[in-house]
Amino acid sequence: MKRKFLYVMVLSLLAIMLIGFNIASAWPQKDDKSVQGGTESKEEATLKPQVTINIDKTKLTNGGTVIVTGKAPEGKPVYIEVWTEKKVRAARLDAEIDKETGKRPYIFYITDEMPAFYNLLFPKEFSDVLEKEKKEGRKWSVSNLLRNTGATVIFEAPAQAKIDRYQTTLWASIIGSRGEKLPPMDKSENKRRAMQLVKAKFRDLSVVFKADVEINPDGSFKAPIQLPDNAPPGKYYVVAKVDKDTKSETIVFENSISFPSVYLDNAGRTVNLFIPFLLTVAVTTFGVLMGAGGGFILNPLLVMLGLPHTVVAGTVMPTVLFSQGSGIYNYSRIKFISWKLGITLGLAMLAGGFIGPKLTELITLEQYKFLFGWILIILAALMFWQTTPKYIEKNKKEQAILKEYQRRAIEAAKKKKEGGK
Amino acid sequence: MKKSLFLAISLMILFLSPALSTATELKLGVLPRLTEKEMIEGFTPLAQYLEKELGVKVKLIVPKDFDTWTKEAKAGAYDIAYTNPYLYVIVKKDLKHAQPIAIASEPEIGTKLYGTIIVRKDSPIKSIADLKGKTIAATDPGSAGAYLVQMLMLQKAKIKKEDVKIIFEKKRDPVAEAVLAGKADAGFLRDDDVEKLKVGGDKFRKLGKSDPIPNWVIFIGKKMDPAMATKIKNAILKLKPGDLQSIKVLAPARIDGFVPATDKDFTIMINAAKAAGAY
Repeated sequence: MKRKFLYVMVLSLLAIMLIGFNIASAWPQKDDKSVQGGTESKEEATLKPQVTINIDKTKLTNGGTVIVTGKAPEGKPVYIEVWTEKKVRAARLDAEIDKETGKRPYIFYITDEMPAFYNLLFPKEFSDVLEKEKKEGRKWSVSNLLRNTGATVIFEAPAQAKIDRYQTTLWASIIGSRGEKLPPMDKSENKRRAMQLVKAKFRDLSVVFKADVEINPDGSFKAPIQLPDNAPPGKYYVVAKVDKDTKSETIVFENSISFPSVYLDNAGRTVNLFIPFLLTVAVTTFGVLMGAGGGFILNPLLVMLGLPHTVVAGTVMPTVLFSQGSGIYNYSRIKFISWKLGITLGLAMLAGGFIGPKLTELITLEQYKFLFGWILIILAALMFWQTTPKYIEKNKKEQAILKEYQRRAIEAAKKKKEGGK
Repeated sequence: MKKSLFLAISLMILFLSPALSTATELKLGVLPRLTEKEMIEGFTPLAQYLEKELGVKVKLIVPKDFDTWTKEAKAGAYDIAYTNPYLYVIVKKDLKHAQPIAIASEPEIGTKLYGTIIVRKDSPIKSIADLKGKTIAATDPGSAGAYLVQMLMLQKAKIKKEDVKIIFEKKRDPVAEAVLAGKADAGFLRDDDVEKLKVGGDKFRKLGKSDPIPNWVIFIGKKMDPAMATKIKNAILKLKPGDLQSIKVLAPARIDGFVPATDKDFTIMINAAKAAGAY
């Protein structure tokens, strides 16, 4: 009896082992390729397990933090790509000397399909790579960063943007053209240019790239997605990726904004209107006092608020109409306007105003600030010089004319007042 | 008893000392396919990783050009060497003891390369057999994926080296431009390079795709203590494609891991080199 029982046990064990062996050999082994030797096919990727992903909330108001958790294959890196449905313009003039030809290409790249918000989160293990790239200062490169973190194949959302390119010249800008449109680029060139446009659009490396994904030995991971309060409203897409073939499904969360915050389409960001409103009241009061619309002072202040210089330059233009309208009315009442001089200067402004916008589009924020700074310094120096006793002495005649104008204006106003009575 | 044991241990230490002394520094010689700066930046993490894993100093050597690397590799100057599959078979011819450790995997293409032959979309050439008597543009006589493997494709189509005129254009874009301009009737390119062409890959038709050839190879290039050779092999093979640790070490070198290799993997390369009269 005992012997029979022993036989049954042994046979059962053998059967279990045999079934187990068959199942194991039929199942694709994770390390099969490493024991078989030889070359590996990328088609094997279809057998790789997928990545799971979850988020702790699906709605945010005026930005906030969403925590992403999930599970990926053990020992693999996890990257998280986040982008918004809102698109914005990004442009860059390639004027760097080509290593092969030794010439500056002057090719202008532009897209209207850049995600207005884009984040690529790396595993925490790559924080040193990020720090190293930050040390490059303004010379940091998206392609270097992606290559050194193994994320070149992960960078996808901005690479989908259709990028146009133009062979541009200074003359083309003067006549209001971007230049000759060049044939479309292939996928890999488009991706390379998209990397440069990400840098041109977001400028600061740490705004876009973060080493925030914490990966545990079992493959589970966690990362925060931080949306600043100036992030666009609408849907945000999140995907966790291990490589180009192994990724999670796309999950969505939504960000909403409330007044006085408004979304600026062409800037690709949300702005609280309260601050620029107060700033503009103060600036315009002083601006009109100096015979300007206030744009010169408003411009750098709005750039400091984080708005793109192209949008600031464009937006301030029509707003100056308001301050100038009320300013013209009041200056004409006190007879301080010389229409002959004004119209002559106005015609020159018409020409400059036509050329300026195209040039603004071609220059970087750094070049814009440099140019703007120098113009302000020169103007400040000129005005300061005009306040020196030596200058005042030299220009007594001018002062006399000014005083005469003031006297006449006061008299005219007095007469009008008396006539009114 | 104690005396004889002491004597045996002393003799063993004495016997092993030459092998141990060679392991104080290992030389890692990499073929300079990029600029010296890029090569140093790319392969320093690998040298540091090996140093940590093996417990000996690993010196990275980036020779000034392919010829210098080949000369030094053939002379057994590198303990560990990294090169393209063609130069590996050339070096192996002279350096019989060279042992391949692993084939590199790249994020976009994996561990295999394919060659292709392109013609203009409107070209009357319909098959590889039609290339007899034609002019063909290729990149470089030493290019595995853009010359040698295509010569094997021609050989299979019963076309000898003498039956075609080959012009070398150094890089992939000039090859495509030569075909587009009519300077050459066909062009030899790496298959994955066609879509990267500046003039646009859609302007061409492919006559065929080669059999796969292995990607770049890392090998032991010097006679050494077998225990150290095993240690090196294990350290390299720990860097499996796509693993976090592999990417951390290898991403700057534009690779994402290694898979084991044997000399059998390079048979196609030997055949291709023979077809081109370059072996």
